[in-house]
Amino acid sequence: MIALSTTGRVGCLVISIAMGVVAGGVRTALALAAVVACAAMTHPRALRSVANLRVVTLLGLLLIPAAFFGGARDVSVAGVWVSRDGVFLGAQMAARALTILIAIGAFAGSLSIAELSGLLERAGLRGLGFAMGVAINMLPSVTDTATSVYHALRLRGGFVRRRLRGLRLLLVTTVIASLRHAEDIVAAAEARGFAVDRVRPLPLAWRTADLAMVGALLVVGGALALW
Amino acid sequence: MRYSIRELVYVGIFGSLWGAIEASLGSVLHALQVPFAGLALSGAGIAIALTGRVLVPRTGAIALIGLVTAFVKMLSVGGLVFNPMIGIVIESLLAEAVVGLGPFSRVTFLAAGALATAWTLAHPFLTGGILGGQGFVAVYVAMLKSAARFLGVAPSAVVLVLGVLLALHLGVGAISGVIGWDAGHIARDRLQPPRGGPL
Repeated sequence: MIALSTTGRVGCLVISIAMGVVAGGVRTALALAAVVACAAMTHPRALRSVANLRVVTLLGLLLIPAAFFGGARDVSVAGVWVSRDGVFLGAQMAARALTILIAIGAFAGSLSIAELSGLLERAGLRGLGFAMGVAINMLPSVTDTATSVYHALRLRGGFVRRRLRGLRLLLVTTVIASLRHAEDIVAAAEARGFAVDRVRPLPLAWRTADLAMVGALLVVGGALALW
Repeated sequence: MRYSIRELVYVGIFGSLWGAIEASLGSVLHALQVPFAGLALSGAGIAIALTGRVLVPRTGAIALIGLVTAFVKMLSVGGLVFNPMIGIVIESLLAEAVVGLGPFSRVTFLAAGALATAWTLAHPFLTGGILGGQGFVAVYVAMLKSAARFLGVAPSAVVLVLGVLLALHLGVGAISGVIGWDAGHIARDRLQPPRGGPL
């Protein structure tokens, strides 16, 4: 497996999505093949993650209606008349969807929170990385709080009458219970000398593997664009 | 606009709350194929983001909460959530735009919630366009025509159904906006130290 840096992964993501969106006709299949090859070499788990019922259903929803309603039904497949143009169009849409899903899956699956935060800081979104770190770390605690508050209100008949008031109460209680931890986080950040202005953005570094992979995708993308 | 550490922590917590709703309630609703699951999630999320806007009174706070939520969703479900991520970001941007343009009032929050939640109606067209390109639209227009012929539905009935759908989305969004405004103010009052300060 080839290990890419964050910069390389961003490059692969951008080129892959551009290829998926711009390529049409038979070129869509070639774009998909290029993205599958890139994912297989850099983050194979992304390929396994698209092999699930949800993605298959999505692809089916793109392909099947197109086969029946995408044009004149001129071909019989196992006794069922379908449209040749529709099947071609549906396959093209499915390939495009799969290209984008694999590209995003490979990017998101291989990126750590720290890398993503650094990337966002580099993109000029100051403080977003810190807020995201807080959000990810607080997620289990916030989920527990919301669940406990919901059950406590439900057991006390909070949603039986005046449901809107119950919903408002649920929101207020959950927010206040979650924000109780906020002061501790602020104190901890200040004690460690954290300041939004002093956050170091992710350094841009290109490795040989990054250049090779992004270059290969660029060549394929350029060839598809010129074809 | 520079945020203080406290404001960023608040943004993170509200993003986490919206993300928790998307990850837990969203998974259940989608798995059970509950109708209007997207509308329910959008309404709940916008109410949370608008509550956050009361507690973080800065321009861009709703958009920031939406961005954090989108990334939380991406990281928590494994990356195959491109469409919901786009939806969350656009809804938060719409709410941000309305709150930014209007006066800071309950009516503005109502309008922000309504507009943001109404996006769930338009969302499939955008994501369909991204995933399928122009061909997707052409296929579905053809499919709609065939279905209309098959069902014998008059165009006026389609208009009626669309009108009811739009009213439903706007109504749920408006309620979310009002709940967000009220909840935000109640939470702000309760979080403030008592007058006279601690002993």
